[in-house]
Amino acid sequence: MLRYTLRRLLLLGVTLAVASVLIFLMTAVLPGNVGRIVLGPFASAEAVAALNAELGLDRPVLVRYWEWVGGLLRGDWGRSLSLDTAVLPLALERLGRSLVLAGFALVLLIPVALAAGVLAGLRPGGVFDRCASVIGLVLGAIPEFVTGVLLIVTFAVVLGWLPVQALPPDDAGVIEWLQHLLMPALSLVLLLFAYLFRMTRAGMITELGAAYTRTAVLKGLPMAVVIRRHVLRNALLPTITVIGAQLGWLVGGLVVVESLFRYPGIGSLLQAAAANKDIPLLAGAALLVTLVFASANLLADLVYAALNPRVRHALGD
Amino acid sequence: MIHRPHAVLPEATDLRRRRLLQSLGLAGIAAGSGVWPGLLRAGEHGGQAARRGGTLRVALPMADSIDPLQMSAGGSIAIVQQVAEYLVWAEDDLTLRPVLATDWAPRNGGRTWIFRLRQGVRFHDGREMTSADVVASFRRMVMPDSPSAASAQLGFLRPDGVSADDRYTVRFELDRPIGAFPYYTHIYNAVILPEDYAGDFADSPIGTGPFRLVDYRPQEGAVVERNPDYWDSPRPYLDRVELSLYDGSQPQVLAMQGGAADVMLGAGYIDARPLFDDEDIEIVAAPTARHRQLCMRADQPPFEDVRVRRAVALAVQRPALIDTLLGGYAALGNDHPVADVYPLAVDLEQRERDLAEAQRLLREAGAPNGFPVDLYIGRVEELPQYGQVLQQQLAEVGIRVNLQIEPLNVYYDHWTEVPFGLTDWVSRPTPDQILSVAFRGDAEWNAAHWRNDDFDRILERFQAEPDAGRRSELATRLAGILNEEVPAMIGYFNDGLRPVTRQVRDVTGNLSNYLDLTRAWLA
Repeated sequence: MLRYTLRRLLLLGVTLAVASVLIFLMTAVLPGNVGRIVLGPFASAEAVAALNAELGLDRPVLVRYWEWVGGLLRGDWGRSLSLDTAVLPLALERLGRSLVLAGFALVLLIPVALAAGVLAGLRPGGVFDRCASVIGLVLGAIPEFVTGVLLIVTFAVVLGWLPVQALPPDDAGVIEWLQHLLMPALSLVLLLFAYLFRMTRAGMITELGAAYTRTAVLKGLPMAVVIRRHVLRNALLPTITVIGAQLGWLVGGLVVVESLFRYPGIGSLLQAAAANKDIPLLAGAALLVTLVFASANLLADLVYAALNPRVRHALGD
Repeated sequence: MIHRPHAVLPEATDLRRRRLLQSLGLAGIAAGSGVWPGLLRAGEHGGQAARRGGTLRVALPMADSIDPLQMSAGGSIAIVQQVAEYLVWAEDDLTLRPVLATDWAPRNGGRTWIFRLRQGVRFHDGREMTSADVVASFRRMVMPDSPSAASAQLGFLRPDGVSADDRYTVRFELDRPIGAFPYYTHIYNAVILPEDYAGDFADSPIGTGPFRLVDYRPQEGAVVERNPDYWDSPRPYLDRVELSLYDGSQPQVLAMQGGAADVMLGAGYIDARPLFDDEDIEIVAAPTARHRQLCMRADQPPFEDVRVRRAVALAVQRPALIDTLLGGYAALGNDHPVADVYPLAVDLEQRERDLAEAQRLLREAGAPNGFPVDLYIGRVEELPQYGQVLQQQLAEVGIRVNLQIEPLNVYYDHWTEVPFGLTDWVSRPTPDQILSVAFRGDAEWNAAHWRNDDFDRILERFQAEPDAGRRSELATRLAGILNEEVPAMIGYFNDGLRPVTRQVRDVTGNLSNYLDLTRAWLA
């Protein structure tokens, strides 16, 4: 297990290095021009050239990459080209916020979706199964900018129960934080519910029909014990992989939810950095997201291994 | 027509006019009170005394750099304008209010301008603002090889052309006479910063403004607090202003509806529609010179033939554009940028749709069945929809428009190269500022690549002319040439729409979408 973890961590380093090269190469072909974007369409060409030179953008992309890597190794993540600030504190603050939102969404999502999936899987085709499946599919098909607007209009504009914006004031306590985050988290839950629910349900159905389950039932174990001790353990394995994969998206990919609820996280930071061709910011933020994504997958794999002795043994423990 | 008339219009006949009248006076007070808006404007608070205190929450569009030298985004400009000030402020009726300058006068036929500065104005760090600061601020903008967003507009000023006569007098020696030069000191980048400003406004935001910047977070917003030592005491009335940046207009509109913002800097008509029916929200509308230019490359086929360009202008149904795209919140355009809002009398017949004439011109130009053409458009406000309406309208004379709708940064990378492009132009306090950068033969933003030596000569005289009567006469000639030659079809001038909640007082609309909160207060 330890060797496996170390190997995975090494692989993570390689992933990050490759990702950083790709990010830099990509920015070389992105449309637009930083100087023009900052100074606006009506600035003179000389001024734009002057700004680009001041930012060092007139040099080849490989030279800039080399300098960026050098800075990174010294702990200097560089300065954003378009936002008058250092990359690392900004990206970390945004990442922290995104993690909080993703965590809150998962805390709401996982128990509900798993419980519903288990219940539905126990009686496939039953009333509960049908209702949950249809509702989940419908909600999952509605994009988050629609559910988000519906939530805001209902709970913030008409009822006035929840704040319109997700960004809480600086002095907000935990309760106030959660109040602000409830709607954006809910819109994510609605989007992801069907996916997780169906994975769990399918896992339950498969495992309930498996030979070992029948054996357990026939040898006289009570149903509750069969489900808890045998079925769930196996049925949840694919679900854990899915959750790990969703975490990356929940942290780094939430542009729409972040702008709609005005919750500046790392997703919108990445999007703005790409639109502005702000290479140090884009590269730094993307690196952080890659790190989170890869760590989430690693974590999911480790949990998977912990739950599944076959994998554990295969890893040579 | 000099101004949009503050006229005696039958109540309730025309929603747009009525809203304009309201806004020209004060948000929320002029409505239905039976009082003349003009009278309300004279007394600053419409008879009510301004109340001190409170926090105003303003929704702004997303901004990048807030360095005054480089900024170009509306959100950045609105933040900086609370902290730093200009020599003068152009009011929404284009009168000039003295701010850091108390008075100014041309010498030498408008080639030299002398500005006298207000004495005793202090920067937020306690130092007195003097001519040295003003000189440094202007030199910074026009220094060669300087990353300055404003240098393109100040082509007639050299770094050594601005100098101090004494501690409170600044002299501008221009390359050529500029009759409306005081308006050029109100370019959004031209805020007065300390002489030793080092380009780090986000870290050391020092201005003379009514508010001090106490917190700034990139892409999130800024918090400013009342400057207790403001020169124009007892203003400002607000204790604190929270300026929040939003990504897109829908979140801003939702914030207004949900009571999370009191003012929205500016709204496009399509986005702001939900706010029109909201009891608690007033739309402050102001006429502007903001417009969209449908530029046609005059140096290559098919638009090198002036008859083809004229045919395009004749095929466009302008009132339909204004109704469909802007719900009536716009003024008719006549293919030149000298909007009615300017204090100039342009005497020119309004071009109207004439399909028969358009077809005749196309026939003469050798394109009886029209032609296919790519129209490039940046994705912003109503422009994509504008493109679709144009596509339909031009199809009626056989011009088959193929729409190329692009993200704004892509469009702005090649907008002066495309054969046929629709560009959004911001409002400027004088028409010279648009005419000289968009239509002069050698202008950098002459997207039509159109050149007319007569026009350039008249434009130079117009720019130099300080007399209002002669300016009107020259403006009419310039507008006439543009209307005749149509380097760009200009269908309308957008009204500026600024949603505010009802307890907000004395936040006016602005021609340039600038935000002045020195007089604002909360009822």
